[in-house]
Amino acid sequence: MDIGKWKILAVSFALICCLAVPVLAYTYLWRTPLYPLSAGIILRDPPAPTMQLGFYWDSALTQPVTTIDFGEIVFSTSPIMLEKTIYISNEGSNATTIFWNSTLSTTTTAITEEWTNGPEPLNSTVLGYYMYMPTTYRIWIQPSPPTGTYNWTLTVWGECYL
Amino acid sequence: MLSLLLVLIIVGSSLSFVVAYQYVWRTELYKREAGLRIRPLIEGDINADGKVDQFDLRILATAYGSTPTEPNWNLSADINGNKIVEVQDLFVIGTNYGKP
Repeated sequence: MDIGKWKILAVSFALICCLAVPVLAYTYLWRTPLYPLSAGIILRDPPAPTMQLGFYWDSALTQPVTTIDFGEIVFSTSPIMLEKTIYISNEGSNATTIFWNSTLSTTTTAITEEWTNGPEPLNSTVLGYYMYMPTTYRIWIQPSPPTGTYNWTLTVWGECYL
Repeated sequence: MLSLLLVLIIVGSSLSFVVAYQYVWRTELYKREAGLRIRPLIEGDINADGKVDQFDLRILATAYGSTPTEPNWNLSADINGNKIVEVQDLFVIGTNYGKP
């Protein structure tokens, strides 16, 4: 065998290798089907915020306020002030602004009222998430009020800006 | 041109208020009943003049049978606080009549 023949054989072998290797490689390259996805992160709705307030007589928040009874007082020609401490607890998942109103002024002018958070009025007080605060509900009975039984309704609500 | 701008500003601000309002969440309304009774020194002394007499009886007679929604209602005449001026209130006056 002369050298020219070897050359032809070597070149042919090289050519075959050049073609065969990519063909074989491609044969072994497996692909999954194509899954079109718009994004790699799936967004879900966040949990719905909860808003709830609690009213208690004690700082341990164990005795819920159902009614606010000032009991019986004797007619007097001097003004009388009565007050109750009520703990308000934020039992929701967001900071809440507290508001209140009352039907007392429509019931009588002989008794006036206020509801405070320390020295500040309770209205517009912001109560943070999972916090509670002592508040004072206070009434003043004017001198020589009409005797009798007085009933009124206190309404409290919270607002949360989301 | 100026009026158009003004209209746009008004509409825009109204819209933003409406949108902002959508994001205010309110809790339920928590209603609590409050009350007290102011009683006279002597039960039945409706006018609180220190004695149970004909004047108290007259006030009760005027309010007799009334409830809080009626024009002749008198809170003081409802001695037992059951929201109606009735015979039980009259009994209280009768029991203490003449007491100073």
